Amino acid sequence: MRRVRPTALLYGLLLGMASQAMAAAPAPVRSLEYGEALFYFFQQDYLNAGVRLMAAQQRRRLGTHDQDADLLLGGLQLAYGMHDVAARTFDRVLDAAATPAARDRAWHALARLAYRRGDWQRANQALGRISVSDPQQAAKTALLSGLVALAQQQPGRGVAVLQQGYGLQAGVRDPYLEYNLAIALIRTGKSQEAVALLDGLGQRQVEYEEAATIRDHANLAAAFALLQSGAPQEAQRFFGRVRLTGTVSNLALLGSGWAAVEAGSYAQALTPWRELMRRTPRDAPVLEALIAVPFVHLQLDENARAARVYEQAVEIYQEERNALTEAIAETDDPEWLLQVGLLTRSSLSGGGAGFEHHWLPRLIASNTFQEAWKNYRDLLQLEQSLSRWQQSLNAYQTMLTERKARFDLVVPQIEKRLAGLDPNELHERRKALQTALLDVIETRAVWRLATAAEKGIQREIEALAARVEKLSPSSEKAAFADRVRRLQGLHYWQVHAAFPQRRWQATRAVDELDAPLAQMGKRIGTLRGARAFARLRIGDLEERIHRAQTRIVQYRPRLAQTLVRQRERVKQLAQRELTAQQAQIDSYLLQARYALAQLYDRAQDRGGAQ
Amino acid sequence: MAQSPARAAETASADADLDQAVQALKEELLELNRDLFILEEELLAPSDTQVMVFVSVDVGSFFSLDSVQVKIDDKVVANYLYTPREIEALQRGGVHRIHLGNLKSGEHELTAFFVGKGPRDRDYRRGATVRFAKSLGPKYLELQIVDLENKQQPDFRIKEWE
Repeated sequence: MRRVRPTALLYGLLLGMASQAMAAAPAPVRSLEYGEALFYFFQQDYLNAGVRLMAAQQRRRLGTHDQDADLLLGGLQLAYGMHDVAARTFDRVLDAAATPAARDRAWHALARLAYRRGDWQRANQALGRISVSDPQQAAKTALLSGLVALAQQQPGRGVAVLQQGYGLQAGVRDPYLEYNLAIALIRTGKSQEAVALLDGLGQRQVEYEEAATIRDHANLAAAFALLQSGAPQEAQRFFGRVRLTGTVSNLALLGSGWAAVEAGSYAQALTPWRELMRRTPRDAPVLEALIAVPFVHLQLDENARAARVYEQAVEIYQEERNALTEAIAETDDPEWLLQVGLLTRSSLSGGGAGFEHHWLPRLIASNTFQEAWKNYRDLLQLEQSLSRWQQSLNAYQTMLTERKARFDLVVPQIEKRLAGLDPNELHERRKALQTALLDVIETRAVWRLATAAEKGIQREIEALAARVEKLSPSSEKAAFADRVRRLQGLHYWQVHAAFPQRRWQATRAVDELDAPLAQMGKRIGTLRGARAFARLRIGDLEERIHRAQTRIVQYRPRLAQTLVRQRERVKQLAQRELTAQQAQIDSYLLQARYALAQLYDRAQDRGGAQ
Repeated sequence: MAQSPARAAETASADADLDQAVQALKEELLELNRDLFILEEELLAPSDTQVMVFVSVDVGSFFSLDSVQVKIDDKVVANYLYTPREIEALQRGGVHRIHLGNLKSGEHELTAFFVGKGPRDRDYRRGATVRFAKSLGPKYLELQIVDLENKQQPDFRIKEWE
């Protein structure tokens, strides 16, 4: 059995930890379209975020957000795996007459990009261009500089820049900066100082899972640093603080066991390691515990028990080996990627689905595999979007054809009605009305403005008068004639009395014709213009639909071909990773079998001697 | 199994080549999707008659949003139930476009109902109404959920954008 390897485990922890929150925070929203792009960006839906942002940029609807939009676009291009395109976008921000704050954010983004690509020189160059005017930006810059220094194996420089950033922080401290400073201190041999820092970080009250994970890492790093410097009992205190459900709990349990072994308390090591043995054998600490437990039994002279656990370990290793062989073979199945997709979706989006295939989390944990898988998933999403667009465009084409048919049906009817409406003729008629009215007013032709009823009454009175006229002269005729005259006088008076109001009403009615006549002329003009525009618009939309359909058809074979290549790459990476896991199990299997053989030999020797 | 250096270099080159191809394709397809998005909007809601309604949340300490219903001229045009992920995106500054439609020029009335949990985790349903004039050109309306610190209550406002 190999002895404890805290150095190797510690080295894994000492690589530095970058926060997802290092991405530049967006500026306050002053454009709805910019906010809409953010809505999708924050949900990690980079396709929809990018499409909306680029559409708003094209339509110049971002107002004062132009530079923010480029920075956001660069950020989402990075997240969408378009590193080269993102670099060009950030360069564009720098080329534009950007504000100092926008330039700082662009340089910071370029530095992060270079850091992620392992291009330390370019990362340092970009970091050197940041003007660090405000303390928050300075602390972020210090954190990234520190990470680059750690990656460059220059922990001394890392300590210097991180300490500078640490000093700049006011109020709430960035746990990532503190953690990385402690890591840099450990790597410069200042473990005591580092442990003091990690101790504070490891006891901090937290509200979010991300903060709890950093706290676990801090306790683990302090524990391994203490174990490394020969203080195993002190290390136990820190191992004990790590949550049993956290992402590094397996490492903490393994370390706790080795701390007990280092302190000479072999029996005490069995508690964390037995807990590990109960866990799914999917990562190194669990696999290692399977041979660490019998190693302890051997130290306690419990050979029979050691042999039983070694046998159990061999059985588990063999099962795992077979499962991996099966998993490697499964990668040739075309359905396999679909299965991985279903299982990884919750993992990649930060969910907590239980995995039926316990080898998958380790596969996903590999950054190269994850990037390749994400690319495959993105291409698949793009293919689905093209399919949807193709269907939508067909529907839109039908809609336009229908619209055009309806247009062709309705337009002749409208044209016919428009032809019957001659604005000049209507203006002439209005003019004639005006002249007639003036004549009525000038000649005071009251009867021309009388109502039909009044004219009827007048006719009846005149008829009555004629009938009275025909009567033989008598006192009765005189009485009738007198009544008719009074009736005539009354009616005449009524019609004349109403004339001034009727004259005013008629004048107003003629004047009121001006507005609808003018509006009608305008509407006829608008209608004729709209008719011409609608024809052009339908034609333009049809042309654009046709062009879009052609583009989709042209892209699909290229997309399909790239998807096949990417699928092959994901498969190769999976096979490589699974084969490496199998090789690791083989190594443990060999150790367990060898130890078991030695135990049998010893038992046989003892039996022979007796 | 370790690869030979020559084989490893060949694999790295093929991987880099594929990475470039994927990046270029993504860039071009993003542009195509953008053009299609613009085309679709112009087809479904031409700028003369276009009306867009957005939802935004400012802080959101006094109101936890579940759903929003939008009525224009007494006709329901949108009903949206938010997921926790969408709520988080809204609280971080994202703005959700809840409705894209068409309206004739003239006077209109928009009513929005906000459903969720108010102060002390009580069920909360509130409405807000605005009368607005639609002229030629697109019309944007923003349904804002804001915190009134002094009253320790949420407030619901409708803002017209030019």
